[in-house]
Amino acid sequence: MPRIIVLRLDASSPPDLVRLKRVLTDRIPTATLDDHRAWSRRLGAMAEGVLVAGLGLLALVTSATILSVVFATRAAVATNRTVVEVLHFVGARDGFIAAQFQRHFLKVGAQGGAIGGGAAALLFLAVSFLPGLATGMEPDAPSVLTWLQPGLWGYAGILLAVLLASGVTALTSRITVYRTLRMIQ
Amino acid sequence: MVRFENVGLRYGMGPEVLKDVTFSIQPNSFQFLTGPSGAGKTTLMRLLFLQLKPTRGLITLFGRDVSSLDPDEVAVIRRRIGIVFQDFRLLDHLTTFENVALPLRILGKEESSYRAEVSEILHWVGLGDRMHVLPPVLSGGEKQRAAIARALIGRPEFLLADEPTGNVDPTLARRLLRLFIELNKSGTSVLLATHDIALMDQFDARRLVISDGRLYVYD
Ligand SMILES: Nc1ncnc2c1ncn2[C@@H]1O[C@H](COP(=O)(O)OP(=O)(O)OP(=O)(O)O)[C@@H](O)[C@H]1O
Ligand SMILES: [Mg+2]
Repeated sequence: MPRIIVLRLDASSPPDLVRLKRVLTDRIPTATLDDHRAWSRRLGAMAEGVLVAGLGLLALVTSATILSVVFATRAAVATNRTVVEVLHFVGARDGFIAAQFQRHFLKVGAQGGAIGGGAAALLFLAVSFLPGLATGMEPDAPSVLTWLQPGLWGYAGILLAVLLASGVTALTSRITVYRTLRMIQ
Repeated sequence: MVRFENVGLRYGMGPEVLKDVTFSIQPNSFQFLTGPSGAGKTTLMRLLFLQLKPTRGLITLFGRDVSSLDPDEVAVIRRRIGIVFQDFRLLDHLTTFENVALPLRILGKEESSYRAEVSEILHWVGLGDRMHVLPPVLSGGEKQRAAIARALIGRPEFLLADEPTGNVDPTLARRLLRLFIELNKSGTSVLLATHDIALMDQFDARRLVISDGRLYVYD
C-alpha cells in the first residue's frame, strides 16, 4: 500500500537528487526515484515543436500569399500591355510608365490588403467580445479561444501583412512593366 | 531629317522583308509610301518609329544614328514624331478626349492647360461631339480620326500615317488628305502609307514604292 508523504524542498539549497537516487537504489534495489523532471522536459520539447511547426506554417502561408500576389499582379499588368505600348509609343519615358503602374497597383494592393486585414482584425475583435471567454476569465485553464487573443502584436502583424501585400504588388507591377518594355523594345 | 543607308530587316530567322533600302526624307516634305499588301510598309514605319532596329545598314533620325540611342533618348525623339497606327491603338478605358490628350499628359501637363487645344483638334477632325465617349463605341472612321488627332496634338516635326484612310469613305478620305496637306504646309514632314491609288492621284507628291523588299523613289 503506497503512502503519500508531503516533502517541501528548500529552493535555496536544493537536495542532491542524483545522490539520493544512488543511495536509494543501493539500499532498496526495487525502488525508483521519479522527480517529474524527465516528464516536464518532454512536455517542454513538445511545446517547442508546436512553436517551430507553427512558425514553419506561418512562413509557408506568407510565401504562398506573396507568390499569389506576384502572379495576380503580373497577369493584371499583362492584360494592360496595350497601355504600356501606347504610352511607350507616344514618347513616355520608361520610368514614367513604371511609376504610373506602380502607383496604380500600390493603390489596388493597399485596398485589397485593407479589406483582408480589416476582416481579420474584425474577427479578432469579435472573438475577444465572446461572453465568458474574454481574456483573464480563467487564467489557469486557457481555452483555444483565449489563445486567439492576438493582443497588440496580432494587430501589428495584420498591419505588416497589409503593407507587405501592397509593397509586393507595387514592386511586381514595376518589374513587369520594365520586362514588357524590354519585349516591345 | 531621315536617312536610310543600305538598310535590311528580317523578323527573327525569316526572309529579309526589306533589302538594301536607301532614301532620305527632307524637312517640310510630303511623300506617299506604297506597295502591295505585305510588302513591308508597316515594317518601314516601325523602323522610322524606332520600334524595330535594322538587321543591317544605318538609320539616321534628326541627325542621330539610331543604334546609339538609349531608352530615354528614344522617348524624347518619339515626341518629335507623330504616328497613326494601322490598327489605331486607342486605349479603350480612356475617352476620345483623354486618348488624344495622352501625348500631352505624359509630358506632365495639367488638363486645364491643354483642354482648349485638344477640343479644337477634335473639332478639326470632326469629332467635336464624340469627345467624351469611349473608343469601343466609335465607328472605324471615327477611331481613325481620333488616332490622327492624337498623332497631331504634340505638333510633331514628322508625321507617320499608316493607311490613315483605310477605314473611311472616299469623301472623308479626301478630307483627311487635305488635313495632312495643310499640316505639311504648316511645316511638318509627312509620310503617308497607302495602297489607295485614287487617293495618291489627288495630290502630286513624291512616291516611295516598296516591291519585293526593295524601295524605289519616284520624285
Ligand atoms: N512581327 C512580325 N514577325 C514576323 N513577320 C512579320 C511581322 N510583322 C510583319 N511580318 C511580315 O513582314 C512582311 C511585311 O509586313 P508589313 O506589315 O510591313 O506589310 P505591309 O506592307 O504593311 O502590308 P499591309 O498593306 O497589308 O499593311 C509580311 O510578309 C509579314 O508577314
Ligand atoms: Mg501595314
